[in-house]
Amino acid sequence: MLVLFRFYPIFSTLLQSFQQIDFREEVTSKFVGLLNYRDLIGDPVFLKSVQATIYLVVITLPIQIGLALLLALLLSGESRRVRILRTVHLIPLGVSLPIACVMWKIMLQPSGLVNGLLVSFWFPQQPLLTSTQQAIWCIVVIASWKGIAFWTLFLLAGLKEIPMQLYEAAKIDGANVWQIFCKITLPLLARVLLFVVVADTTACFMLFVPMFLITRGGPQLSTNVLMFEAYRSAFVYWDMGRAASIVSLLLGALFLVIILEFWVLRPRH
Amino acid sequence: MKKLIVSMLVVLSLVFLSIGGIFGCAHAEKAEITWLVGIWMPESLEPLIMIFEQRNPDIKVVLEPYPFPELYEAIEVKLGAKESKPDCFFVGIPMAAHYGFHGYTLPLEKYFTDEEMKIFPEVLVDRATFMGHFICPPLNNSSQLLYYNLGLFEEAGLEVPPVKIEDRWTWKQVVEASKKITRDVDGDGIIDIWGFQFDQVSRPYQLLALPQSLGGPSGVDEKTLEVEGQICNPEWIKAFQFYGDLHNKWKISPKGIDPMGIPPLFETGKLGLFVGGLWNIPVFEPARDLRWGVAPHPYFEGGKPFTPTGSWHTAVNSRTRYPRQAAKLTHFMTTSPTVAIHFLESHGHFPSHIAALRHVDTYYTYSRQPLIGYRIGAYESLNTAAHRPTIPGILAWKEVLMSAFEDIRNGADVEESLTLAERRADRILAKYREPWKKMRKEWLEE
Repeated sequence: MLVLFRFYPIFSTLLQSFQQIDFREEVTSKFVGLLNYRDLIGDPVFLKSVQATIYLVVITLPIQIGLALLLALLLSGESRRVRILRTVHLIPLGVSLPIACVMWKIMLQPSGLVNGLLVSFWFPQQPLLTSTQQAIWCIVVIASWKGIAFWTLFLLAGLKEIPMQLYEAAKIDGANVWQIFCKITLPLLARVLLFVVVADTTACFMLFVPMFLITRGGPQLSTNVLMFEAYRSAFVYWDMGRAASIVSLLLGALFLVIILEFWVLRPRH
Repeated sequence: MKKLIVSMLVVLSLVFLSIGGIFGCAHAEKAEITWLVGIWMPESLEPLIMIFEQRNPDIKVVLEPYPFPELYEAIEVKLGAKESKPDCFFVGIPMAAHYGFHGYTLPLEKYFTDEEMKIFPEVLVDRATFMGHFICPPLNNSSQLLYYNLGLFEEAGLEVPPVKIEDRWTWKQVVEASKKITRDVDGDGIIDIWGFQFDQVSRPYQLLALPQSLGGPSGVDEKTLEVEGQICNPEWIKAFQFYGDLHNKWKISPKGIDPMGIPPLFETGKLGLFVGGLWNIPVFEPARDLRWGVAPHPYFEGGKPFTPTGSWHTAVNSRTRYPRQAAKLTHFMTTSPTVAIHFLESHGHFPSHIAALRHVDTYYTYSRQPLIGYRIGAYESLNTAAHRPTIPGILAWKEVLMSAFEDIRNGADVEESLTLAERRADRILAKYREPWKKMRKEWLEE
């Protein structure tokens, strides 16, 4: 199964990245070596996509992980109010990402709900999705609105595994909240945190739906992340070789980032 | 071991059942024709399909509707995968060469007599012909009008645009009127009523008429697929500076709203002027609180009137298992003037059939507002239509231009955006040039 659904598609994509479509006789593929990769390096649109992807990952990851951890800590109590809030925070998970994108697109229009609220509180009207600076932040908000709820679940489960006696013992020894968090919570949550960081990194690198449904890579390629550029190359530009090379490079970059994360967050005993 | 044997038996049963199903289908009495259509068509097609099926009891027609943006992608994915379904599919006319180039379409000239070919405008037959083969007969056509909100014009103390073709407004007149209509009603800093907007905002279908009105080229050389000087040139820069200024300098057109959001703005009285397709007439007619009218499409003073156009055609999949039946359906839907008039009068789909256009020109219903819009459209489709290029790689070319137009709408530098678009289009069309030249050479030699 692993070979059929994982290794074979990766190998096939890699092979396709060394080919280009040839219309001269019938529609066939011809071997071109590293030509697709050389073309990418010199393509300003590809370089802009790399920039947009790095920007998105670097902003979204700390925000999602940080807020998910905070929310998990706040929702780890057992009171009735906390249990109700725990259920409420799951609402974004019940909304599919495409529906969420359509809703957010309407709210983020220049005369939409978000600007309406800003203007009500005497802030100036913002361009939001029509601005090269703000559009990527809008995508971060949309992705985080769903992502934080999802990652909180895992962190909450991890927090529940930590024995209460450790916290009680620490309190008896006079440890404050910050010391308890650094010396007990974080180390014992390390495994779950590592999983969440790696999974969230993958999700951020692969983010596609908001660009497809809302921004279409604009304005001015500011949200033209690598996944969207790969989709456009394959299904709009009919350039499978280019799409395969983009995806191969993305996979390689993701692999390196994950290895780095494993090394940084490895358990130190 | 036991589990393995049971799993293998289940898989084998499924395989045999599927094979049985395939043979079953092959031996069925009725040929099931799947027709991939735009989502705006099923209501008007269904009664015609009933009549067709009654006359052809050995054929069953199944419609597969898609919304406009997904229609092209669905066709590309299905036909690109060399599937036998759909048997028939909609073709936006700029896509004809692309589908012909990739071998998606069955030549249909043997199913249409010379007399039958004369029922369509010559220009549409030309565009539906690929390398000498008639591949997709026209179903409907389109043209564009200038819609105005009578109430907003009266409030601003303005005279409405004239309905006569020879008195059509210039773009300068549109901008002047729009400036007086645009306003922030409640003083909260957000504009509530806009002066003007295009229907198919940032789409080449809508906007290519602008540079062509100034004498500019169509965006690509259809014979050689070269784009140098076709996108970044003085006429295009002037036309799209005008487009950008509508949104960023004069601020009479709203940003951040996609094409689906524009007609509702007009319908709810928040837009004074609107250049849009004829298909909006039946949409706005039932709106009780809306007082509106139509006028001819504006043009640049000193230039020539050019209007957006685009016909919807229907083609037969070259890999269909029922070519005769699929061609029969295509023939029925496209050759009858009664069918064409039904499309018009039931749902306002503008006809491509010459007899139906004559009906619009002479029947008294189309002499009064707002249905006079169809009469204007009939004139424009035959006299001022700015046909888009019909080339392989059209989808990619269109996408590149749409990105550039949307960037300009959001305030990007016009010359930079068009230069980047030209470069991107050049790279995308490069792989088609040699085979396209070879194909054309072989066809011309024949």
